[in-house]
Amino acid sequence: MIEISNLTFGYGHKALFKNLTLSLKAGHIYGLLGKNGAGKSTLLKNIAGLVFPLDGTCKVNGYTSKNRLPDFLQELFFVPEDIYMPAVTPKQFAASTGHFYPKFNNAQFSNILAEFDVPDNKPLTQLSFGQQKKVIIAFGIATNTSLLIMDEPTNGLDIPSKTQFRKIMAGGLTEDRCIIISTHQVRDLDNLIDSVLILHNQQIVVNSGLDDIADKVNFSVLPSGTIDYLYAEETFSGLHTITENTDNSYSKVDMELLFNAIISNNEPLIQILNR
Amino acid sequence: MNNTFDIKRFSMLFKKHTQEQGKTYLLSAGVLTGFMFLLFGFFSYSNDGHLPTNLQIPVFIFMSLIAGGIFTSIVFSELGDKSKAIPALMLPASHFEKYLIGWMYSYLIFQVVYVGVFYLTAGIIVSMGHHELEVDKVINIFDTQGNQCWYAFVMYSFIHAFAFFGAIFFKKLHFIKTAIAFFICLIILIIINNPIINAIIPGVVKSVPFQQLAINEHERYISIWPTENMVNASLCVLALVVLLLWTATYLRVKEKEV
Repeated sequence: MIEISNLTFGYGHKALFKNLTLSLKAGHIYGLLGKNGAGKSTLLKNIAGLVFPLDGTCKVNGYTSKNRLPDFLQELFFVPEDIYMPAVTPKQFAASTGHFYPKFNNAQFSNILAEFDVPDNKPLTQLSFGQQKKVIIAFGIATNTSLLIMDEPTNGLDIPSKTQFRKIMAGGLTEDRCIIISTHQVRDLDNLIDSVLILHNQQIVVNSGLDDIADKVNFSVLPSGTIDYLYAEETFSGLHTITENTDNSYSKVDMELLFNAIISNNEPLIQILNR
Repeated sequence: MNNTFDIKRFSMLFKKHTQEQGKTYLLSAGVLTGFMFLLFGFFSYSNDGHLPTNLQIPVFIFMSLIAGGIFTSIVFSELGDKSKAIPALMLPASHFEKYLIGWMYSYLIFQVVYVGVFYLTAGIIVSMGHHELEVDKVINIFDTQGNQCWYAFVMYSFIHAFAFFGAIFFKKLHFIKTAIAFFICLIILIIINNPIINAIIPGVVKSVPFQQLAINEHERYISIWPTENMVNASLCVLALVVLLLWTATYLRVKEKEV
């Protein structure tokens, strides 16, 4: 689905990626994590062909992204962080834009809007930012493109909407579809993604399924004073740790803890995850 | 589907663009109509109710260049705004189709609307004159012999090409920056024209680019005007510049990054 090879990109003198290589497959919801300024949005823009690599290639379904050919674009939908909606109703928007996407499903779009409780007959410019975001998310899912990219989709959504978002996204995944969600709010991805990508130090340092991560490491709360761990954070409820999974036990991946461990350059953990 | 141009996809894009921008375009046409009414009304009032053809011609020419220049310079304004540029560039249509929509609206449709607005406003103001002895007429802008209005279409092509390139080249304040760039180019042309002409023909005392030059020979001041062939050659150069600017604009659209 997505093949990035030796991608180098930067703005001015600041290099964001150096020889970044990444392969993403259909049938997964990837969570793209990274610190502020790590280049999450820029990586997504490279995939979508909105910016051009300085070196290396970025291909989606065999098409070079930077060419932005219609055949490539009709299989990709990009939900940006800052959205702009024209002064038409969601219904009119679907009627004027939906037919650019061969697999667009109007009934699915209406159903998602209803689930989000957004009126489909009110001009988009009169809706709140959160409601506009819901419209564009609903439209993106209903295009049924093989690649759906979402940059900080939960920004602007209230707490009940975030729960709805997770539910709707899970329903939007099919085996020939790849969804990438970038966020700095790690908790928003809980119970939503099945694979995690962590962008750090100009590279993708982790590209693993959550099951795979759970097979390799354990996430547990241990008594204070424990010293045998790969990474730990002391909280009022005890010592939250990541330890190597040596007995094939199962624990739920704590993404925030995992993310903090990776960005603190925890080499032993990175090595275990990339084995 | 063809990845460069597909008529079905292009019509969908045209329809979408018209639906989303139609209100803005109609309002702009309304503003232009109001302004033309005011202008013709003022001229008619200051000429005892007359609107002579020698006033209609310059108004037709200059207003087409100013209004067209402003309209064209903002035709790609959405590509300068990050939140608008992403949906515009991600829409499944080719770069050529997106470019062509901007070109059609700013070049073809603008000129048709402008001519309509001109005849409407000039016609109404002329008919309001109520002169018993002498009745004014609205000029025939397509008359290539009787007046210079055809010149407006030639000049419009050049101004359009320049503003069209400015529309994609600049990210913000498109019209102001394009106008500044235009005047800088014009000043440079005027400044370098005389030394270049003097290097070719010594003794030139005055030279207007593409128009006229004057020499002093034995204390006689001689003005030289280009022949018809030279005028045609200048028009060919102008056409070439227009084509180059239109092509450069297309390449800029194609290489637009957000």
